[in-house]
Amino acid sequence: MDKFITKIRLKKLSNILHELYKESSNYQIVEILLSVMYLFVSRLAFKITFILSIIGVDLFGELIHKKYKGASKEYEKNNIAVDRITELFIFSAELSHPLGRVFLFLAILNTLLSYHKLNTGKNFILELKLLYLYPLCYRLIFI
Amino acid sequence: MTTFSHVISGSYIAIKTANIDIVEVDYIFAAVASSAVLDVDHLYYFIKDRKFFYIHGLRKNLHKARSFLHELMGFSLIGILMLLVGFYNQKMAYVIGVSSFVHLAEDFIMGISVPFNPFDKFEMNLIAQKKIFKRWVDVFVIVIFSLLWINLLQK
Repeated sequence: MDKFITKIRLKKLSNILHELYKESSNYQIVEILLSVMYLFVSRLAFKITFILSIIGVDLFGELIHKKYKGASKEYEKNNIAVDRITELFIFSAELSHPLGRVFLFLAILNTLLSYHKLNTGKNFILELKLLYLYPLCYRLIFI
Repeated sequence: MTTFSHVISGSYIAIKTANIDIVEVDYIFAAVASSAVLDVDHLYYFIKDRKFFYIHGLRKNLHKARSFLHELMGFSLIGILMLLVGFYNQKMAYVIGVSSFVHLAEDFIMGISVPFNPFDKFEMNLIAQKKIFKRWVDVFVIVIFSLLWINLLQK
């Protein structure tokens, strides 16, 4: 009897986990939370890890969404908004560094460009998180 | 989320990550004020659309009481403010910006938002809008950050 109850509970748990896994907005929440946690990080290696994790979660969420719900314009809009928020958090953490200020300015510009993308459909958005990995890696290796 | 939970979480994150000492009252005041002041825009809509809210209630309609300052445009404007204040006082710019960003991010996660307002009225929500769940998250945030604040004040 105990085994049976445990089996039912495990099945319920696995169903809940599967539902969470299927829901792409959960990955977007994780992305935002990771970018808030980035504010607490001071070591370069951890900063690189956090940015890579945010990019990884973003890509994984996109794949999951395409697999279970197909490509949709709504999800794309959601993703644009979440990406801009994560960028602003990451670069506001770098405000004390001159390069960080440049990237914060570019992140603001990116937000304004997203409005342009919505209106015209033309993609001018810069991949700032990916771009910021280069100076971070350079600082980690050479400085 | 309630204004109190925004203030308690936003100001803590800003103060802790900026390594501000508890005696630096001006920074603490700036963090508390900037995380609270964003909710003033609700008041305008509550007064302006009081008849609508009286008839339909606040549930699932609260996002109609937020201006574009609560959306991506707000993030951008606060970012610009951060850059401008940063020319004079970087620490102050960081505290004002981060505490406001945390407030906006919390509202973005918990509520229904119109991220591209005023240019696009597309609505989105990242979590299911269940009153009981949102209330529990609010309580959780208040309890956790109260404990963290007590820990910070004791040092």
